[in-house]
Amino acid sequence: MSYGLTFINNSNQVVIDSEFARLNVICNGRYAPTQESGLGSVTYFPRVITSQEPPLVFCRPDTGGIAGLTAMQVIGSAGAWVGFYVRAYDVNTNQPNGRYFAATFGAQPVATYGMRLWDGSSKLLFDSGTSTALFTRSFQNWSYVRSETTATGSTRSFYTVSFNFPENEYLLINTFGMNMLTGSSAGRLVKTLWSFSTATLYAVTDGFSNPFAFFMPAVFAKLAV
Amino acid sequence: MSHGMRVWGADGALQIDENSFTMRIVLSTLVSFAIGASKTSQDFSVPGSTAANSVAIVIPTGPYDESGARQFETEMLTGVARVYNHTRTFDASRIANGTMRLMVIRFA
Repeated sequence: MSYGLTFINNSNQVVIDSEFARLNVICNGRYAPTQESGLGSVTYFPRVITSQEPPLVFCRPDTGGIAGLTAMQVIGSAGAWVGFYVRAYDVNTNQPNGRYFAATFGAQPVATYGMRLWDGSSKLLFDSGTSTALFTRSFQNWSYVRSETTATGSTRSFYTVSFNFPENEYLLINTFGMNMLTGSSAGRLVKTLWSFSTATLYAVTDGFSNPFAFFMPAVFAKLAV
Repeated sequence: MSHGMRVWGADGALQIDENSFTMRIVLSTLVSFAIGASKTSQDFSVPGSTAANSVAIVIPTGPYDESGARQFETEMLTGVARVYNHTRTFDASRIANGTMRLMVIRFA
C-alpha cells in the first residue's frame, strides 16, 4: 500500500487499512420468538443490508438454562438482505431469545459524522456508523464428545470447543442452518447448544447413518472493546 | 495509550482500540458442484492463509430449501482452501450439489 491509512495494533497486526475489506457490523439488536409456538424467530434488520453477499450473523443467546439455535436462514436477496430466521434447539430448551449482530465485509454509509474510508476502487471499507467487528477466537473444527441414540433411532452427536461464555462474545450461526451430509438422504440437522449450567458450548448433529466425522469451523466475534 | 487509534461509537462505547483484532476477507467466491458428480473437492488459492491464521467457511447464498439442500464442507490448508462435496473420511457419505459461497477469513 503506497498511500491511505493503516492502523496497527500492539501485536503488530493491521486492524484497519485502506486496502482490505474487514468485517463490519451493519446492525445489531435482539432476536425473540415470533412463530411456531415460540420455537421460531424472524428478526428484521433495522436497516437493509446492501452487500451482494449474505451478511454473517453472530448470535449470543441470553444466559441461563440451556439455549440452542438451528435452521438459520438469511432473508432477502443480493443487495437487499432484510433479516434472518432462526429456530430454538427443541421444545425442551429456551425459546430463541438473545442478542445478534449482522456483519459484512465492507461498510455502509450511515453515519452523519466521524470517519469513512474507501479503497482504491471506491469500495467503502469503514464508516463510523457500521463499526468493525472484533475477532475473539476461532476453531477449525469442533472436538467430538459423545453420541446417543434418539427415540427415533437416529444418532445424535455432541462436539465442543473451548468457550467460557463471556457475555460479549457472539458465535457465527450462518453455518448452523442447512443440513449436513450423512449416509442417508435426509442428512443431519446441525445445531448449537449453549449449556450455561455446565459452561459447555456444543455443536450437535442428528441424523440417520450419521458419521462422527464433523468438519465445521467455529468463529466468534464481539461488537466492541 | 502511547500510540495508535481508538474509535468510539455514537453510544459512547469504545469500538476499536490498540489491542483490537479484526477479520478481513481473503476470498469470497461461489462454489458449485454438479448434480450426479462423484466425490470430489475443489481447491482455491489463498496465498499466505493457513489453518493458524485463517478460517474457510461455506454459507448458503440466500434462502434455501431446508428439506433438500445439503452443506458442502471445507478444509483450511496452507495457501489453499479446499471445498468438498462430501464428508471426508466417511465412506458412506452422500454427495451434495448446488452452489454455496466460500469465504476465507483471515484473523491474524
